[in-house]
Amino acid sequence: MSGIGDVTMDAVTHALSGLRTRSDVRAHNIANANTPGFRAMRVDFESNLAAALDRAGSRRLDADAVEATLTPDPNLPGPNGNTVSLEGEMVGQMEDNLLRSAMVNAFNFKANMLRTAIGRR
Amino acid sequence: MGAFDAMDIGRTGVGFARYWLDNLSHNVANVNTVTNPDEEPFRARFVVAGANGAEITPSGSGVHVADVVDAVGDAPLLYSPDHPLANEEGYVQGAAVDLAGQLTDMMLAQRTYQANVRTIQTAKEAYESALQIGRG
Amino acid sequence: MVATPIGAVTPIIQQSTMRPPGVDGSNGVGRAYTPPGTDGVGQTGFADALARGLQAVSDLEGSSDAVAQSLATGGGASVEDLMVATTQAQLGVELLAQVRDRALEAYQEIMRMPV
Repeated sequence: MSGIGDVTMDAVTHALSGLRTRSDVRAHNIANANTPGFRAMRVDFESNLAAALDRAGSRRLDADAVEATLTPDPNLPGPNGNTVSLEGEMVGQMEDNLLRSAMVNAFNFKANMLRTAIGRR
Repeated sequence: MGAFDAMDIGRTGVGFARYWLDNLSHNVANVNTVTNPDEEPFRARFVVAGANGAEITPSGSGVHVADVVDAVGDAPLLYSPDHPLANEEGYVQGAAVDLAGQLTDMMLAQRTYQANVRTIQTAKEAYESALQIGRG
Repeated sequence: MVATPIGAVTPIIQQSTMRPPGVDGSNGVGRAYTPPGTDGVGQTGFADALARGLQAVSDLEGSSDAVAQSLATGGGASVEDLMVATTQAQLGVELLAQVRDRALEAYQEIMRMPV
């Protein structure tokens, strides 16, 4: 990451992009809710982001330092071997939306701090 | 431990209630399943709930399917001498399913499902109102 | 007249260094409150007040950064922690900007005085 901002803005940006990957994977899971033998996947960006933040300290994050990892969902398979949990994906989507709003709020907050410091409202 | 624990806990409840409903449907669908009296009859499957430990929050993390057990007891014998599965005496064996009990459980399972959906909705609204903190 | 608004805003900056509940583990129940400035320490004038204000706002921004990073990494912070921390830091910065603007205004006014 470069230009205006700090490590927190980078973290928030990475979280937003991780959330986008997660919503893509959720869409794929839901689309295959009836596919026999389909294994639902989960997206984890949090642990890589936490590790990257530990490495960076207060320095900026590298653009490619944070990659989301996909792991199989540990749900018990249904009768046709499918591990998609529809209600799990639905609640997950709600949580992702809330986290996205919180991250957008955090980004706006950082941007407003900079604006105030620059002297414009 | 995540930022949206109440929703995750509600999700375990919805998942359990759905699994319960699935099994109740299976039991009711097989209420007329007959077998030869020498074979094992169809037995209703009962879903056993178990409380989760401290996976999500220290105070508890919802519910999981602890076990699925078959109904016990004798299945009814039905006199039906023309049935291909009938034994020499002309009896077939019905299903070990208490239909009235299954339908009562179905209402309970439905209410459980609704209650947990309500938990999730309430938690979502609470988190949404938290997002309004500081908005003049 | 310059000192009046600054003296009025300093306590607010100091109060806002309270962390949101849950971040430092305290529940904030029954804590004694000592109004700032009554202990007679550090009341040496505008420069000192400004320095303390800057430090307080910097601390607020640091703690709101920590909450934002914790929430982004699933580290246990909650949405309400984030919103409270960011709101406090935002208010602190805006307050400091107001102090800066008023101080500049006062300075310019003094400079315009016919001697």
